Amino acid sequence: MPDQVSGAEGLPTGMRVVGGDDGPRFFPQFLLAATVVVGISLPALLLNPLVGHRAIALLYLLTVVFLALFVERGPTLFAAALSAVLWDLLFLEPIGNLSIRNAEDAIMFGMYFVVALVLGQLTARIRAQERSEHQREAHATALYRLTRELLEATGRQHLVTQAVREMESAFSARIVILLPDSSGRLSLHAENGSSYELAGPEQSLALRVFEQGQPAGDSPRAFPPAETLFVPLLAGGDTLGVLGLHFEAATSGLSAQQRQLLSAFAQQIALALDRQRLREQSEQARLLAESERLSRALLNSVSHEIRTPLAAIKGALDNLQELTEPPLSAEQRSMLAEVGQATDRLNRLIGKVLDITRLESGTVRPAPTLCDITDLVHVVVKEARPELANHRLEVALAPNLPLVHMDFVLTQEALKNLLSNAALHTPPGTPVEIGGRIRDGRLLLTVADRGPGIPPESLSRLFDKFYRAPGARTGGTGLGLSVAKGFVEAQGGWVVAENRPGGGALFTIILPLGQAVPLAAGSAARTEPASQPLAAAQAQARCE
Amino acid sequence: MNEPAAQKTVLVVDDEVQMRRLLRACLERNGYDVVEAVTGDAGLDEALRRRPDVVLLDLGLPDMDGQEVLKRLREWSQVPVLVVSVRAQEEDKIKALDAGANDYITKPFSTGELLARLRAAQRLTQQPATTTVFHSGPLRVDLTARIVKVKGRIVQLSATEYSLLHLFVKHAGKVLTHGQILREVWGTEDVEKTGSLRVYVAYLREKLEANPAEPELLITEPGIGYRLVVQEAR
Repeated sequence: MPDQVSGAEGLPTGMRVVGGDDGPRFFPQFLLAATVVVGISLPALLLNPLVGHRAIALLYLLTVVFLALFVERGPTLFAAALSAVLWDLLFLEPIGNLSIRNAEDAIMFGMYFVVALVLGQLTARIRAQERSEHQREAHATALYRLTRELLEATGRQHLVTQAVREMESAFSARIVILLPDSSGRLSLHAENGSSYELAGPEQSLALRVFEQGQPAGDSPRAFPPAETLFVPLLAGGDTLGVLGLHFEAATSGLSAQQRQLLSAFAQQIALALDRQRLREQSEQARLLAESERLSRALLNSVSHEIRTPLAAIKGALDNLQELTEPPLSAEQRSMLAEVGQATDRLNRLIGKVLDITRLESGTVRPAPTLCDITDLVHVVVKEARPELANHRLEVALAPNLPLVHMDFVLTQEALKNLLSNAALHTPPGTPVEIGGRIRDGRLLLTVADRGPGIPPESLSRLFDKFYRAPGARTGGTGLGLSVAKGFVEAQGGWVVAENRPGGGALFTIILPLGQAVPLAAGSAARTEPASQPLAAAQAQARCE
Repeated sequence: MNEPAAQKTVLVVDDEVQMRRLLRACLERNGYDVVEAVTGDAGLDEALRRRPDVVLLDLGLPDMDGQEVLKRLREWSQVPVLVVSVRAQEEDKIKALDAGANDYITKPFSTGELLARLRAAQRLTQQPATTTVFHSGPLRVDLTARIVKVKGRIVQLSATEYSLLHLFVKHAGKVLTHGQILREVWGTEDVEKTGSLRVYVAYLREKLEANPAEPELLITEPGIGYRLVVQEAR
């Protein structure tokens, strides 16, 4: 940092760093210098007969030295020249003439000039250094105060307020801080705490500064000088916002030092904002993890608290049904069967409510693996068979279905819910058909029935939670279809409901095939020699 | 069903007094001796003291997680453990099975199912180590001669198919998780290999099952793995 301080920087207080042209203050200094020099000439004239003209020269010299302590270099030199001329005129023979007869006096005159010059130069330099020192100290203090305030600030709002206050007092300008909104675009509304609101044309300037990450509005060639200048708030290669300074009076721009101070301020504010951003992010992550933990704990606890008494009911029921002394009457048995059915239904309902809660809390995370669709459909059919005991179940899978990348359990549960739905809403004895095929790079799993079909006005609301089509049978949970939809959509697929030509409803699970692997591809392995010694077999298995 | 010759001891570790009472009633009626424990610590103590033939373990215990009990128990004991829990999530089941549980049954359950699983879990340990021939329904596997027969006819298996079947036979009646099977047969933990596993299970079913589309021997446990069912000899 260069120590040079131009003469134009005699500022009254260290804190106020913005100043205009200091030229006018020069004039009184010259006046002061002239007055002092002329003023000292009067007592000198009186003293001259007593001490001699050489002592008078020393008196003038003393005066110039003192002056140098108070005025700039220019006035000092002026005082030196003026006093030399006055000495020559008033005290050297011939009086009233600038010529010097005496060689000693000529040397004295010359020496005097050099000494005055050097003195003026030295004192001026010392004072300039002092002033620069002072200025630097003021800057450092301002920066320190800013840093401290920013460190102590809690929350973004407080931080902005503190930054604005410190900037205002250091730059005598009104301050605006602009930060990006949640979508990452710069919000043109001044952050709360700012002391300036942008006018129209300034907004585009601020946007440009944000996009380019370069200061603007302070071009020295700009005429008239811009009243608002913008600096980007940069931290870690990111532009975190824009800092704007609005000067009430037109300024001639900032000096190099002021720019340095400004950039130091901007850097500190940006760092503080960055810290704040990181703090907010980690806080958010913590909250998210906490809410996930809570919802998981809640799910565990709900399922535990409700299912434990259900398990007790079911256990007691089973124990009761096994009692043979005395044997239960047919009526007692049928009552127990009712309790058993209700218990199972309640358990299913809890299962579905938990599924819905998992879906809505976003804790359903599909874990896709390559799945055998034939196996999946079989598992579903096996599990749904009790519900479909009174229906004719027909399974029609396309031959040579490939392995499909999907979450086995989610798809299976979705398909099971569709089957339960069909079982519930179609009359006994009607057929329910399950189909599976590949079309246009998608896996289609269909459940078709020959029931009453779906009323057209219900089609759009069918998958809503707890929605029941008018005239639909009771007994369902009203959740099965939304669970099915949720589980399929969690994997990037979708479910379509429609009415079949010829009557009945058709539900289709559609899953895009990310990467399907033909099941037959591995069949080459079947030509391996059969039943080798086990060690060899395992070795070979590892090589595959 | 009753086995008066040697009464089997079941250790029930569950903090719900109602569950313990009901399990005791059901198990005693079916010829078991019942030992109860309320906490995981007490359960481990009883397991050490009473040397039960099978353990029914609830996962939600007041003092420690059931998975932890399982882990500690497995450090010194191979007693069959049947996990009985309200936690129905696959990851809970997989975790328990990988930690050495023999089976997993979700509350609420029917007592019939519980008794069947209990018998299956016990059968595992009852088989003498010297057993070389495995039977289940129409399936007969001669482990020394490496001959596989279905309904008396020899079935040709590829090396991988055989090592897969061999693994299932060694753990007949027990659920094997995808991870366990992949580790044992493919020597990998990469779930991406699940595809190969499914392919080979399909091949095995085609060769061993009467109706491969509705398997009765090699059962899929959705989201968890497979189980080779031990059918009573007919």
